[in-house]
Parts: sequence; C-alpha cells; structure tokens
Amino acid sequence: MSLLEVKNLKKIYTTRFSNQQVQALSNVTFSVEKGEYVAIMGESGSGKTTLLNILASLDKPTSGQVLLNGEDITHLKEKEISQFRRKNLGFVFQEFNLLDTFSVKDNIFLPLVLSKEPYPVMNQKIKSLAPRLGIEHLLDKYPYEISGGQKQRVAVARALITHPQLILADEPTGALDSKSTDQLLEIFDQVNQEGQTILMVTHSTKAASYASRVLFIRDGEVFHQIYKGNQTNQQMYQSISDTLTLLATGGE
Amino acid sequence: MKSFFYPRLALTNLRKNAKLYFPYLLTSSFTVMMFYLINYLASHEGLKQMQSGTTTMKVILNLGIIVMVIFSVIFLFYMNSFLMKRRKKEIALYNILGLEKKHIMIMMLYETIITSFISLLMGFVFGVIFSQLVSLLLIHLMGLATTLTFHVSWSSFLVTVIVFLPIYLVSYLIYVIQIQLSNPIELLRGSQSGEREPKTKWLMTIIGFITLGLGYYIAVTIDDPTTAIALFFVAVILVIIGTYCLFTAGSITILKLLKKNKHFYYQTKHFTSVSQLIYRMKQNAVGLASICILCTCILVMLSSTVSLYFGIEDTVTAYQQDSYNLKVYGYDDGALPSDQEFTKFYSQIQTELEQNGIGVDSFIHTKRYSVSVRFANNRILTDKETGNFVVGYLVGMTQDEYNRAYHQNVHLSDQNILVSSNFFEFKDTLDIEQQQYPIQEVVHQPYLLPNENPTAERNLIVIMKDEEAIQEMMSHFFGDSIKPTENLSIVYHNQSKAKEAEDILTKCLDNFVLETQNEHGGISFYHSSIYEVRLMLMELYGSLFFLGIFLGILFLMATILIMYYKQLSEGYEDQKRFEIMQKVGMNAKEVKQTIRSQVLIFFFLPLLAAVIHMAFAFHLITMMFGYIVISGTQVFITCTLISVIIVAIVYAIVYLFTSRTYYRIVKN
Repeated sequence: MSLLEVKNLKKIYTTRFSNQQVQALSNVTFSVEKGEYVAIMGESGSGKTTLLNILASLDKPTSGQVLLNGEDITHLKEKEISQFRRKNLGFVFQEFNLLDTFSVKDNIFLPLVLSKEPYPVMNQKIKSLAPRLGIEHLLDKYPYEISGGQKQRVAVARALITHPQLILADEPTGALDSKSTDQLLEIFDQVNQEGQTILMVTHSTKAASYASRVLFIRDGEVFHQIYKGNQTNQQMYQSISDTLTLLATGGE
Repeated sequence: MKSFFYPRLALTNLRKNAKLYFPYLLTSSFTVMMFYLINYLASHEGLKQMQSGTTTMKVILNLGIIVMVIFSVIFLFYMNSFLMKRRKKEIALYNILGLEKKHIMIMMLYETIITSFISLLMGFVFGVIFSQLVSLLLIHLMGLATTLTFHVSWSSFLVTVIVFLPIYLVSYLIYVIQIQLSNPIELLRGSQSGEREPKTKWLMTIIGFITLGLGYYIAVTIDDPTTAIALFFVAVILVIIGTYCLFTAGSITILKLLKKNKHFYYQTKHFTSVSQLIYRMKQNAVGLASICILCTCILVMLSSTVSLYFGIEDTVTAYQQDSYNLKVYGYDDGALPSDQEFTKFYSQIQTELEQNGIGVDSFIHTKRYSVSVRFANNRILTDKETGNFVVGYLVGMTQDEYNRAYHQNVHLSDQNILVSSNFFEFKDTLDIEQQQYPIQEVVHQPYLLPNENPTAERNLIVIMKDEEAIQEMMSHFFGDSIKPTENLSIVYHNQSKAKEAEDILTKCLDNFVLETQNEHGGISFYHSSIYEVRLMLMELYGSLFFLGIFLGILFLMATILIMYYKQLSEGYEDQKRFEIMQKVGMNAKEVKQTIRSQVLIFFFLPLLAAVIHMAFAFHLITMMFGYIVISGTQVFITCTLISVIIVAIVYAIVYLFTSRTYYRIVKN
C-alpha cells in the first residue's frame, strides 16, 4: 500500500458574486510511496496550490479521495483535522511562518507543545535534530535575528520534530538566495535519505531536480511525470527543463 | 461635480472604517451629551429656585463641569491619536496613489467636519431627550418633590459647542502635523519589523514594589482623621507610581520568571499566552496602568458617594435625636427672658402643635450651662496641658432644674454630682483640675445630653447642687461666670407632618422674639430640626451621589472604550500569528481558548488591581469620611461591594462582546 494515494481529485470553486464556476482540479490521480521525494511542478494557476491545500487538509475537494496510510483525510471531522495534521504532516512554507514572539527553540517546540509532550521529551528530540540541520547555535535566538536560510532550516526542524509521515513543502526555496537554496535542498536530500517522505510544490527547476520523481500539473490534471532513476541532478535538471519547454510550447 | 469629491471621499472613508468610527462617534456623542446635561442642570432656573437658598448643588455641579472638561480633552485626544495610528497605512496608500498631502488634508478636514457635526448633533439631540430624565433623577435624589418644566437650553448648547469644537479642531491640526511629517513608505511598512523581546527591568520592579508597599502601608496604618486627609495624597501618588512601575516592569519580570519555569511554560495553555503577553505588556502596560487608576477612581467615587447618600438617615439621627431643638442664648448681656415669657411661649407651641394634628411625644426644656473643653484619655484637659485631644462639651445643670424637667427627686449634698455622657467612662469621682467630685449616680434621661452620638459630638453633663457649684467648676475653663442657656427638645408625635411643624415653630419663634424684645435688643437663639438637617444632607449628598453616578458612568465608558480599541488593534496584529499557529496544528477551539484567556487577563487585570487598591484604601477612606459617614463602615463595605459588582458586570458584558469581535478579526 502506498503512503499517500490521491484518487480522482476534483475541485470546483464557485465565485461569491456570480454563478460562474472555476475548475481548479479536474481529475488528479497519483500516489506517493513511503520514502519517496516527489516534486510537483506547474505554472501559476495550474492547480498546484489547491492540490497542496487539499493534501494539507486545509481545504476539501469537490469529489475524490485522499488516502494517507489508507485513511481518507477528506472525511475527517473538524475536530480531528488539527490533531491529524499535527501527528501526520509537517509543513514548510515559502514565507517560513515563524512566530516573532517565540525564540527559535520555542518555534520548533510549538507543534510538540500543542500535542502536550512533556518538556524532557521535547528537549531530547531537539538535541538530536538541531545538529542535523546545523541550527544548534541558533536555538536561543529570535527569528528576527537570523537570516532567511537559517529561518527556513528552523522551519524544517519544526516540521521534522513530530516525525511526520509526510512533509509538505510549499515553494520552500521561493524566498531564498541561491546559496541558501543549495543548503536547504541538501538538507531535504539528506532527510529523504534517512527515510523521510517529502512532497514539494515548486516553480524552481533546480529544486525539483533533487526529487526522485517530478509530477507536472496542467489545467488541473497530472499531465506528465519523470522518474529520476539513476540520473544525476544535472541530468534530471535537463529532463525537467525539456519537459517544461514542451509544456510551454503547448505540445501534447 | 468636483466640489463634492472630497466630502464624498470622506464619507466613504468613514463608512469603510466603521469598525473604528462607530465606537468613536458613539462615545464622542455620549461625551457631548453628558456635557450638555451637566451644563443644563447647573444652569436650570427651576432647580435653582427649588433649593433652600443654598448653592450646594450648583457648586457641586460646577465641579463636575470642570472635571468633565479636563476629561473630554484628554479622552478625545487619546481616541483621535488611536484612530490616526490605525489609519496611517490607508493614508499612505492615498499618498502613493497620487493624492497630495494638501488633498489628504482637505479630505481629512471633511472627515473631521462630518464626525464633529454628527457628534455634536447626536449629543445635543440625546442631551435634550434625556435632560428631563436626569433632572428628575437629581430632584429625586435630593428629595425634592416638584415637577419641572421641560425646555431646551440653548446657552448650555452654546457652552458645549465652545468647549468641543476646539477639541475637534486641535485633533485635526495634530493630524495635519503628522501627515506633514510622515513619509509614505515608512507609513506603509509601519509596524512590520520584528520587535525585540523586552528586557527584565529589576530596578523598576523593585521601585514599583517599594512605592506600592509604602502607599499601602500609609493607607493601612493611619489611625486619625486629620493625618488621613494630609497623607491621603501622598499615599495616592505612591500607589500611582507603584501601579505604573509594576504594570510596565513588574508584569514583564513575572512573565519572564514564568517562562524560565520550563514545566509551567511548555504547556499548551501557557505556552502561547505567556510569550504573547510579554510583548503585549511591553506595548500596553502604560495603558493598562491608566485604566487601573481610572477604575480605582470610579470605585472610590461610586462607593463613597453612594454610602454618603445611603447613610443620610443614620447621619441625620446621629446629629439630631429630637425632632426639633431650640437653644436660647438670651440678650447681649447674657440674661434670659423671664420664666413667664418662656412658659407662655411653650404653651403656645404645644397648643398649636396639638391643634394641627402633630402632637408631641416629648417636650423637655432645661436651663443649662455649657462650656467647650478638651477631652483626652477619659479625662478633661486643663487649659495649660497639651497633647492629643478631642473637643467636646461639658454641660452643667442644677438639681432643681433636673428634678423639674425629668420629674425626679434628687438631693445632692455638697460636692456630690450626677453625671451622664455619651463616651466618658466614669469612676468613683470626676476629676476636674485638683478638684474631685464624688459621683452619686450615672443617669440616663432622654434628651438630657445635647447629642447621644459620640461621633457627632462628645458630651459630658454634670448635675450639681446649685448654680454656685456649677460656676465654680466651670471657672477652670471659662474666666467669667457662665450664663445659662434655655434648651428645648421636642419630639413630634406625627413625624410625617414635619414640614407643617417646622412652619408652626418658626411662626411661634418669630412671635416670641418679637414679644421679648426690650431696650437691650432681641434675644439670640439657635434652632435645628430633623427636617432641616435631612433637607440639607439630601441636597449635599444627593447632588454628590448624582455626580458620582454621572462621572462614574462617563469614566466607565472611557475605560471600556479604551479596552475595546486596544483589543481591536491587538486583533489585527495577532491575525498573522494565529494563522501560523493554525497551520502548525492548533485547532479552532484552542485558538478560541487562547484568545479568551488573553482578553480575560487584559480586561480584568486592571480591575483586579483596582479592587486591591480599593481594599487597601478602605481604611484610609473610612478614616477620612469618618466625619461625615456616621453610619459606620458597614454601609461603606456594602456600597463598595455593590460598586465593584456593578463595574464587574458591565465589564463582563463588554468582555464577551470584545473577545467575540477579536476572534472574528483573527479568524479572517
């Protein structure tokens, strides 16, 4: 059984002031195996963000199923959703979404505190996690005192500390310079090597080239996918840009 | 077309910012209304005529007007600066979109004109509507029974406009200056940059604790009224300093200590609240401290005026036990009218009272010798002694007079005396200077003492063998020989006809004065009655009570509005924060709980602090009012508790409303 199965996902938005309907997702079907590193690419308006929101249980589909470990998350009750999200999913956002009122350490602790973990356990977890992300010297600082790349690594730590089934990353390199981007992608790679399943939505060919599989979405459907197989990052980069060119020129 | 551009833009702006401007207009109108009302009452001709020739009410209302002017200026400026802060971004946007500063100023001038016009109009309209109601309330509180004509006071309206227009105008000028000095890009960014966590200020915390402790110590330890009044302001200032220090520095110190306690801090409930409160305290401590002081003012004002008012009956009976009391001091040389003249006068009074269905339960007249002395430690101080003392009266009466008035048959030998007092603890003898007078008996007779209540007046009455003995005893305190006074105490049978009785007695007295006039001139006298005392107290305490309620409502409204605005701006700032927390896995219920507990702390911390202040001030206040609140601390405690409960209920209602609005903002 796959870790994540997405079946015939459909999402139609009805605008508030007219009856005009906008189809964001028409029919999306794919699955993610445990330990996979999947990137989802597509142009603006292709339905990436809608897809990610549904996967994150922040939004409900019009029809279709999302199964995580065989459990359909689209039918979770309002009460269960937050707990489900806390237990099973880790989030990394483009805008980092760190809280200025918390120190770096407390930001990472936030999901654990919400899950009512005792302090010694939390401390144990951060002690093993921080060195892997190279942030152990930042723990007592505040978000406004550190750089963008460092902030994103802190956000990754916050996502990882609950040992989620799946990491959902939304344009994680979008606000980073190239050096920080490289560092972050290395970290994702390393985390994936250790067995963490990652699903990343991105615009960046470079970011996608690190993934083991890339899905292309166009007009609300999975249009194409590439497996990395034994390709190097460079070769993968080339394959992705070829596909993107093809997509852009409208070839079928 | 073009000429309507600015007014229309201004109207649109106000409508778009309804969440800000609606409460502003509401309170601004309310303030105008209150100001009109108090002016209306102070200048009301009908009310003026109703009073018994005194100006107590007018003086108190004028005091209220002064307080209101000061309050309105501070409060409206505060509100306007708040509105401006919230609208900075919007104004910067207009600037960037191409409106010059000049145009923005014209736009804002129209906004000011519109809001001022609405405030004044609404305030005036509701002022006129409620004027009859408040005048009835005031009349009722003062115990007057008259109907008033309803009218619109244009002069009060004019005064209101004269006071409020400059306030609005100056607020507008402050806007203009701010716009002139501002730079749109700065305005747009506004408060985006991350804020540093505040540092622990130990020194200020310690100063806060010391000043507050000292203030409390003074308030609790003072035990005589004279020093209480003198030190009251010292204590108040110390407590105010302490409040500000502890709210600004102390709160952060405590929160930081809580944060250091890992097991406490890393719990779902405390985690977000503690960390957010640290930041909020940094921004709002001064505001909260001010609210705390305002709340304390409300409580002191309400509880003291209410207890004065509800203590009126007790105070009346404390000052006067008989229905009517007359003291005749006689002619200039001290001589009294003859006994026949008195007998005639008394029988006239009795007949008249009887004929008018009033009747008497008690009619006692005595001739007495009275001198003021200093009492200390259950003893009478001599002229040369110094030290702490209380002034009171030493009254002498002959045994013949006593026997006649109270139908007794006492025979005192030599130095023996009968005594009676409302506070003195008698031993075997009464010592005056070197002389020891053996006490034959301690007696109690109705209206023998000038006053039964020791708080109102300390009395010691001595009944002696004859006038000679009295003169000798009193010569220690009064060089010349003492002239007697004639004292009359009447208790009406039918108390409800006190007013008629008053008229009859006044008539009889006038008649008596006229009849006893001789070549030495007229007699001098002093009279007082329950009816008169009650009327006076009702007027004084009634108008104080009215002012207490009036200003209490006004201050309460200000407190609530400041809280509401603070929460509103907090809500906007916290929007992003709660969004992140929800993404990380906080559910709606937890968000609601966190918000509720935060708003709760914010709302009730100042009130709680105010109640604690009040508890400590309690002793000091009862001490200060000791002169006037005769009914004792019981009434005061009850009134304070009731005031606290009322304020808390109003607070709770607004709290529920505010936390809902706040939640809605955060949820967006």
